[in-house]
Amino acid sequence: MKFSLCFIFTILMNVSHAEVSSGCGNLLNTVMKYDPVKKKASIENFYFMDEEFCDLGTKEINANFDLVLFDKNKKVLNKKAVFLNTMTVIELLKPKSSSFGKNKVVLAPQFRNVKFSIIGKKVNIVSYKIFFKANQKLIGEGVVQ
Amino acid sequence: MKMHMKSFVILLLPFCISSAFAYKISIYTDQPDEVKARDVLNSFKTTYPFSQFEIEIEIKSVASASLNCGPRLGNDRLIGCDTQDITREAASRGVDQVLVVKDNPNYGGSGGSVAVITSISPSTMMLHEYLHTLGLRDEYEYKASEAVNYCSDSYSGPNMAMIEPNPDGYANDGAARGQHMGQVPWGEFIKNETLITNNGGTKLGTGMVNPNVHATPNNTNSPGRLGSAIGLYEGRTCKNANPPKATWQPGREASIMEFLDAGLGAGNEAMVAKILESRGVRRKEAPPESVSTAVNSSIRRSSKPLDQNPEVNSESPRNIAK
Repeated sequence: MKFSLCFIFTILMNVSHAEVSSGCGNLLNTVMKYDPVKKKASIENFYFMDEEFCDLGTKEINANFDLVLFDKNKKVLNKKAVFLNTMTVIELLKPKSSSFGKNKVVLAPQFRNVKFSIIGKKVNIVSYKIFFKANQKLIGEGVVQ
Repeated sequence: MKMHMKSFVILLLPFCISSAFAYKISIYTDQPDEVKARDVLNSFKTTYPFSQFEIEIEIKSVASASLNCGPRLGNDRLIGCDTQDITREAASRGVDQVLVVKDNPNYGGSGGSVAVITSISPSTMMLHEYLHTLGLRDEYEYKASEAVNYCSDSYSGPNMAMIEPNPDGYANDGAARGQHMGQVPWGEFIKNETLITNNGGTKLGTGMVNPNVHATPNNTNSPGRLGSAIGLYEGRTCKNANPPKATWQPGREASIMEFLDAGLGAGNEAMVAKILESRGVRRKEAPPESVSTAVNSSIRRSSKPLDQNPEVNSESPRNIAK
């Protein structure tokens, strides 16, 4: 029963795609990297997946980065504001207690999975740029591989 | 016709988005019996507000070498992990967030873009570290050497505001609200009847955080009702900074960001729920009143199970729970 209804739903989502949600498309999962030492960001990996994805999480409330995807004509295809914790904090617990002990910052690269909803063919996406949200400084750009 | 089709789609949504479209968390662990990872999974399943969202959690058992964990800063007790490989592997399977439980006898963990805890640490430590992943700040008192790293003016986070009160005080509570509410991330959750000043409206602060009273862990399906009203409570996080900095938190009770036996507290619960929603994580039992609310999530139509991805070369995930 549930499966059948979902099948119908899937068909209808495709038929009335634009009507239901303008943010629906194919799923592109990526690995974003931020190097806190160099203060540079990049997208390390791109995984185009055979799944439909309606992205309603494009503006995270505490976002500190803007990620923008472009086509070959440098037209913006997708833009997403995300939060990425920019540093690793190692915390020790006091044994058998609920209190924290020592606390150290490690400036190691940070990685986060970021999903995009891609409308059209995946080959349309050719490049990306990453900006600090606070000042819109460009901190990374590259091509889609 | 279009309206009818839209209505029909809306009616079908609850049947379809309850399972396959959840936000996916993968707990990577090298602990042979996966006990701690299961504890972590249960903590997320039962702790408000995580329990109110469509979050699918799997446990993925991997070899120790795959986690790339080891001592940091020359200290065997400080365990850190290079998470690039597992983040990439997880991304290839459509996972949204990676967590790591490292088989290790030292108490501790790390907060960053990927939350890590050791297998001997309480599962609530993963909640604490994951809250760092979402941007929440520590609420415990930093030593002077630690305050140097954190207590800059930009340290504010969803659970912490850095506001230096007026030296001359305030005319009344309204004046303080007008000046400072824009600096309080949880301001929308402070009710009008809750003052953000004391001493007749002249001094900033609903009160002070009491470290001897811990927020009650909330395993119910509704926001925490015990404890103080959400307000503006002065904390101690940066009092050892040079010069000392005033920090403010949403609750009078100490939260899990200070003590692991504490709950999130009502203010942090509200902020975490807001963050998850802004990430597109869908609430359970979303009302089908309109498409925009009913599809308040990352909706996916999976065409193949996670473990059929050819890039997965380690053991298949188990213990998937929602």
